[in-house]
Amino acid sequence: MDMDARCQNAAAAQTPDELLVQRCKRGCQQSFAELYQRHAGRLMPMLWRLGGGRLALAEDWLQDSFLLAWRKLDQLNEPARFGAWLKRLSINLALSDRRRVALVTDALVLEAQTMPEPPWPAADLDLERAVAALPRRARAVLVLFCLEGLSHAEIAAAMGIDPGTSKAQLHRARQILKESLS
Amino acid sequence: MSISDHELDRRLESLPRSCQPPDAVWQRLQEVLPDRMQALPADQSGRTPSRLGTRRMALAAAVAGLALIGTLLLLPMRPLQDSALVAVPPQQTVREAAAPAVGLQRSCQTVEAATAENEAAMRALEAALKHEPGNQLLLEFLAEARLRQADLNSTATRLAARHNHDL
Repeated sequence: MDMDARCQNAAAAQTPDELLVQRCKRGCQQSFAELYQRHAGRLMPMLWRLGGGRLALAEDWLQDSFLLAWRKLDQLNEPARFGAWLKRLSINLALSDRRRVALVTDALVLEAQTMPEPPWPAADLDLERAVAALPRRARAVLVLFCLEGLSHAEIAAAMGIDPGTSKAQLHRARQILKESLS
Repeated sequence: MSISDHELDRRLESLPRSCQPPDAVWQRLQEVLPDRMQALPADQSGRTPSRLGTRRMALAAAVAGLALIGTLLLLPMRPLQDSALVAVPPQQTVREAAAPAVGLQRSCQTVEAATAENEAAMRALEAALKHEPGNQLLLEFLAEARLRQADLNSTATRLAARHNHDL
């Protein structure tokens, strides 16, 4: 079976991630497209929230995450855990990209004033906007702990802070949200 | 009056965790995905010819990236110079025993300096990539620099924790 045929088979909905990753390692971009279709939608809300509701920033992070994943696929020891690996990759990328965040902050002050709009049908727009308006570190901790299920130890390692600081930032974020949503 | 913790948890729980994957991002991604199977010769890579200035900038950024990676590879070895594994004059050993935070502080400063260097290199690489988006070498350097930034953040955390513990 040639590469094209294998790529077409890989696009089948039931193909496990493990198989798709192995095909990607051999250069099959169609398999990578399938991985993108499966996982990009799970990363996007997280990145949008981490970026304070800045769509362009979230899309940049999403693109960089997949580009990095494509380049680092050979370092993935457990292909079946591609989703978790990719998520960790994108979190590290977003959290370490303080410079780009700073660059776009000024330009996006206007966007913030007009209230961010998530690129999906928002069930609770007030809460989405309140999360987006949180201070950067408090927002990151809240998103990663409450919405993405990371532990304080994991968040602390990813953000370069103490676990105690992570807990304090979470408390702060929750207090601000409770006040702003009242 | 603020809302209750229970109400906040309920609303947070109801927020969507996934959405439709953005097609525009995939379109852009396809254009920059390097071929894992084969590297095309430079004249067949499909890149538009670069102007001399752009090439110089890209070359300078690549050299900066190489120098940075070389510097950062040496970084983990630096704390050894503060340890007992390195032969130091007895007076210096006594001084450092009397002030254990000095070596740690020096390591913190080294990490801060490396972080600043890394950020400067990322800026240079991104500027070069704006002129030559398809340059695989620059993309690779940028990816490495970003990963290194995350590592530096973790190292800074560990050092800060040790510093607090020693105090």
